[in-house]
Amino acid sequence: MNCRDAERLLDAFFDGELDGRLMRDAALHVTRCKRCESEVGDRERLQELLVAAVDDEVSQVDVGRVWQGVAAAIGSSAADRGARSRRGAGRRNGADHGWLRLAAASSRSTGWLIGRRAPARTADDGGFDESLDPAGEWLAREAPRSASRSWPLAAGAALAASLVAALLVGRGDAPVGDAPVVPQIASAPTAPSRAEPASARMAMAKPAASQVQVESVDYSGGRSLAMWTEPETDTTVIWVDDEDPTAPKPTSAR
Amino acid sequence: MSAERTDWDLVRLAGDGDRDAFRELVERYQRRVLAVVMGMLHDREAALDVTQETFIKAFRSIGRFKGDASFYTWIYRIAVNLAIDYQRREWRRPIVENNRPFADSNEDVLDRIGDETPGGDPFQAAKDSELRARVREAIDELTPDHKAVILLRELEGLSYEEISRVMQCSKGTVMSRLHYARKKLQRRLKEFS
Repeated sequence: MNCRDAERLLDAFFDGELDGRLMRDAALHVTRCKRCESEVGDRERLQELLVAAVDDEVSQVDVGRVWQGVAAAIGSSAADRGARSRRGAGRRNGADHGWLRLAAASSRSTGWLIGRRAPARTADDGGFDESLDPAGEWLAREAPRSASRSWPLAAGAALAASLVAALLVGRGDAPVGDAPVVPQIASAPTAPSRAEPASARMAMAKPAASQVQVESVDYSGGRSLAMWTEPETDTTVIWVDDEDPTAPKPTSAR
Repeated sequence: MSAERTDWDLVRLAGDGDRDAFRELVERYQRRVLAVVMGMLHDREAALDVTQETFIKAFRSIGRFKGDASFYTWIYRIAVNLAIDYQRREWRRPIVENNRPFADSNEDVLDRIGDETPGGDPFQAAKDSELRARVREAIDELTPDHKAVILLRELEGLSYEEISRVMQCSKGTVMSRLHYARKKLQRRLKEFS
């Protein structure tokens, strides 16, 4: 793939809308072409700014006012049909808060080089409840390892590193080491997830090990690239590492 | 622990007049709808009004929702159409300046620095705020259709297919609008930097 081909595909690549082979070809090109890498980085930055700009505005609105206005308007029509209402006593608290849990649990992971979905936010404050996502904590710990790279989305690399390490172990040319256990991702969503800057979105990009199907691994040009899909969340994950996986590795002290 | 109810469960209950079920739907989607509408209108009160109108309209026609599309696609479609209608009605009226969270004056930007970055770099914070303000201005320059497409994609993470259903246009049109909107926004940002 050359730059002209890649340019036509960069939007769809960034949005995770290419099919497997094209996605892989585009990813390979982008890892090796500074200009296209920069183009993708520009899209990432734009997304971060756009989300931040709108979030700033939304955060200044009391979203509770939405229901107040709606309730006032639909009150009479709802009352007209109230005889058929199936409201149950004591359910209100669950209704008020249960959906928050659903929203958080229903995340579809996504991101630049990662499918197309984003982590859920709680609808009132827009925040992501990390307590519902132990995998996020794990990635937050691991992500700094790859922070020196400009675009390959540090957080996902931590997971990918473990997966690729596992592959390399299978090939017998990598150390048997401390590959972390990949945490289980939350269950499939019914509600869409809110898009986030890629760094945040990556926190959800943690396919369960049992669901991962590595489609391709490529080592060339001093970089390694792995791509896999997470069927449950319809997410494509592409991971790129500058390190040469065939280089000698330190042996385990064990 | 009881299982969470799906959107479709809630839609059916709301169709039978269950206000609590509808409230749950509203709370599930109000912030997302508000964000898209806010992104399009850049006016807090107008965005709140349109968001409320979206859910009111949804409630009144929820009996006709057949479930052949997802609820959120349906609600986004209502919201985007209402926001576009609102913009057309208000086309000649300038946006009220004091509704902008980051007004154009340096004084307003600097006033916010202390709140935003306790212990952080105030100059970087000012630059970030300014950048966000520029992004807002650039979004405002897009047509309503271009705004809707880029907001649904970047803010809400909808796929091209989902956006095409919301906007009732082809996927090719979605891709074309998204590309145009991104390029335009990127050009504006580069001018600033």
